[in-house]
Formats: sequence, structure tokens, C-alpha cells
Amino acid sequence: MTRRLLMGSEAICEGAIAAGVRFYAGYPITPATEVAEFMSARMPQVGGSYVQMEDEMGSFAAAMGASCAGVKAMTASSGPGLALMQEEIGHAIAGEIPVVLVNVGRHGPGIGNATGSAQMEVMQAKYGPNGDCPMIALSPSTIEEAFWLTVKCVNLAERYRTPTILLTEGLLALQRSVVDLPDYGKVETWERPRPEGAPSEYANPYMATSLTAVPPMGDFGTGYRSIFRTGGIQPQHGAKMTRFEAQHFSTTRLNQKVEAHRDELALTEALQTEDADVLYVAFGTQFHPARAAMQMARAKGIKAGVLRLITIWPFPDKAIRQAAQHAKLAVVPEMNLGQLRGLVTQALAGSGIRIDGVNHVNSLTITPQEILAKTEDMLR
Amino acid sequence: MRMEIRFAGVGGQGLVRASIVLAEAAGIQAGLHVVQTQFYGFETEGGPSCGDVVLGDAPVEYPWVRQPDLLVAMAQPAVYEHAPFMRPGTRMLVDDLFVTDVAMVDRGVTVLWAPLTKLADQAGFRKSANMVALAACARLTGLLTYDRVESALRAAGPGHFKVNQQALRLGWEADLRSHVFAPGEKSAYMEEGFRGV
Repeated sequence: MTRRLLMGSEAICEGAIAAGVRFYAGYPITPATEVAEFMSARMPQVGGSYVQMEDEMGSFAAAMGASCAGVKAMTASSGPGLALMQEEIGHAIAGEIPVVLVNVGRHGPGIGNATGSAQMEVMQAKYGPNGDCPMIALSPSTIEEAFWLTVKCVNLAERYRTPTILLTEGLLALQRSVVDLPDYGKVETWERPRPEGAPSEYANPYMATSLTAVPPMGDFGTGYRSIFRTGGIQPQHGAKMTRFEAQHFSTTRLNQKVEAHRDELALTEALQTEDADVLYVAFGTQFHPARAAMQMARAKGIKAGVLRLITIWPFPDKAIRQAAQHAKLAVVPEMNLGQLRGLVTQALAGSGIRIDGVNHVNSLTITPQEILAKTEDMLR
Repeated sequence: MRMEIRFAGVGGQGLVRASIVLAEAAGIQAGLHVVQTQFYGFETEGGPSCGDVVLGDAPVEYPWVRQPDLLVAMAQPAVYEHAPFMRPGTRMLVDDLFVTDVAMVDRGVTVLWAPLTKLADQAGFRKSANMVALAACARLTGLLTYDRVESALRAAGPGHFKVNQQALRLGWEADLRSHVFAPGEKSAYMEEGFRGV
């Protein structure tokens, strides 16, 4: 274990390296540039490659190419770059190519305020690409957790052969704090399924026989027929099917291979929700004011609890319903105009729980006092 | 205990670096809870810039500096920008070369004048003024020893170490002249002859 003063971006890079990432392609954008900077220094040190690309689309595409060659790959950007990458993200989903994307949230829309932190990509992370897409997106609340969730993003991308997003914020990525880094040799890493039989028996990387299957993927240059990769759906099934049946099967499988594991993927942390009349649902950096508000509310005799969402996608709706069992009202503090609140409202539909938000789009962290004031206002 | 410290000035003065070394000294060397953040504009040099540190004996819940307990002002615009947010009883360490007007500081804030840039010149490298400021500021916190700050500087890397170490030593030993402004009192202190000492 090593104790270091680390910037959030640096913790993300170290997490990626610990998880086995050895390729990074990127294009600078505030506030994600530091990820590229650290990677440009670290990749050569660990025998990896760093490529400065011409734009965000090129960055994601280069990461996909490296991944097809069997290397764990990552890229990073912020809102405007994430918007540009959507075509490639959809391509990686359809082509089942593992890539980790770090999104360091900044204020938008458009160019917005580059140096202003925000949580404005909650919906874009999942609904950015066209078509019905699965998505795994995790959001850290502390710098130490940024390390561990990056490891998890890499592992999940590999296991499910799908792009994953680390949904973080300028505030966390550009902040420094003391972190205990583990011995990287002891960090658990997962690999993508690779073909085991002879190359002559391997048809292609899309052959699946069940809706939750993640077919083995051969690395480029190893003799397996894996050269042909496209963003088009690969209607492949071991059994005989019509084209329409195969298309239905493949599209459903892309989603089901993730959806079937929703319970283990949807990570949350519940604080004093067992008896909570008031539920705060928060993620990322805004968990901290929510927890402080809970303590202030409890001191005043208001039974408040916090559900922190570690996973944003697949959305942890079960955990929200569980945490809201006794709740009369829910408050969602977030650094946007109510993206998470919409999802919470959907999860609690029919429960009769009143839901409101505390929303900041000025890039200043929400204060516990504001959350408490909203709570008291709603209780009145 | 929560202490908010802000190094403010213009881009190029090394304010962010000063805040990182202070955070290293407090967080790694002294074992305090610490969060370091920064603010700068699109400009690389010459625009407004801040390096912020929040220290605490408990985990820092709110990472931003809202009202600094200790402001290090390395340039005049920093005083104009941040002085209005200073509460009575807090302290402002100002560079006596690049700050000439503290007239607006009138609410019981202690203004401490220090020849930060001049001491850096004495060390032989003007850009080490951030290390002079860092040391003077670290001493003012009352939470750090010189050795801890120097260890943090060592951890920051070997670049210009000798001159930075010299600057650190000069900053730690700097003679700070103070004056507490009474509510309503204006720039009398300035008129006594400290302008551009």
C-alpha cells in the first residue's frame, strides 16, 4: 500500500493501469485533459501505448482498434466530446468491443462553461447512441473510489464485451486528496472471454446460443476469424433461424447480456434508510452534502436516509424502491436540472411518495443547508 | 476544525503548485484531512488564478473554499476579487510588491504584509515567490513544521529544488507586518507608507 496525494484524474489513470489498461487514445478537453496528461506519462512506463488523436471520434475508434487486438483500452472526454463519440459508442456496443470511457462532467449545453463542474450526462450516457443500447455506467464519490470504480469499469467492459462509462465530474477529477493505493498485483482483474478451441473451429466473435451469452472474442492476429468487425448487428445464432429471428435474437442479446446481471451491477450504498421518512438519492460528489443533510435532519428529529447510487446504468430502481419503503418524500440533489430525479420518479411511480430536487447548474456544490431547507419546506 | 486557505493571484505565479505542496505537507506529512482544488481561466498566464486548500481534523465534506480563513494575495486583482468574501477575524497575507491597495479590506481582517516576491528575488529566482508564500502561509496555519513543508517540496519533484528550498526558508523566516483594520477604517495603513515598500 502506498499513501499519496492524488488528483482524481490521476486516481482514475492508476485504477486503469491496475486493471490492466495498456492503451490510451485521447483528445484534450477541459476538464478531462489531465487524464490524457497522466496517461501520456504513465503508459510508456508500464509498457503501454498513448496516442494523441485528432479528435474524439478518432480517440474512441483507436481505443476500439486496440481492444480488438486484445489490449485493454481506454479514452476520456467531457460532455461535448461525449456527444461526438456517440457514433463510436454505438459501434462498440453493436460490435461488442470492450472499451472504457471516462466522462469528466462539465457544464453544458454546447461548450457551456469548460471549467465548471456538472453532472449533466446522466441520460446521455445511456441514451446517447441510436438504437436500443445496454450501458454500464459507474459514478465515484471520492478520489479513492474513483480508483476502484475505474478498475470495475475495465473489468465489466471485458466480462460483458461492451463499452463502459466512468461517469465523474470536473469537481472530483480536478481535486486532490490523500489516497491509499493498493499493491497492483493484488487487484482483481477480469479478462474477456477468448476462444479456446482450434482456430479452424471458430466461426466468428458473434456466435451465441443463449440470450445472455457473451461469445468468445479472438484477438487480431491470433488466427481466429475475428478480423471482420462492424457496427452492424451480427445476426448470429448456432441454430437455424430466419434473418428476422436472428436480428431479433441478436439485438435482444446485446441488451440481455447486461440486463440479466442487473442485480449484481446495480451498486448502491444505503445510509439509515431502514426507518427513513425522508429519502435523499444522490450520486457522485453530491453524495457528501446529502449525507451531511441527513445528519442535520436527524439532529432535528427528521428521520432522513441517503441512498447513494454507485451504478447509474443499469439504473438501480429496485434499490430505490427498497430504500423508499417507509418514505413519504424524496429529495434528489444533483448538479443538473433534474435528470436523476426523473429516473427516481419513474422508479417510485405509484408509490405516492412526493419527489422534488435541489438542482445547481452554477457549478457550485449543493450545500446540506439547501437540501435540509427543501426537506423542511416539503414537510410543512 | 476546518481551515480554508486560498492562494490567489494571476496565472504564472505558481499558485496552484503552492496549494499542492501545502496539501502534500498537511495531508501526507502531517496526516490531516485535506482537499486541494484550483481555479483558473482559459488564459495560461496573466488571468485570474487560485490554488485552494481545505484542511481539517475530520474528513472534508465540502471541498470548495467559500470564505478563506487565510488568503494569500500575490497580485492586486486578487484582493479586489476575494477581499469582499473575507469574514472578520480572518487573515490576508499580501505581497508588498504586487499589491498596493487594501483599502477595501475594512472588516476586521488582519492584513499581513510580506516581501514575498522580493524574497524570491533574493533567493535568485522570482518564480519561487510561490514557495516563499507557501512557507509564510504554512507557518501562519500553526499546524505545520518547516521540516514537513520541506519534505512536501521534496516530494513535488527535483525541479529547481535548491532555489525553491532557499525560497521556502526565507518565507518561513519572513517578518510579517500586520495591521488589523477596524470596521469602517479605510486605507490609513497604506497612507502610513507601506505602499509599494
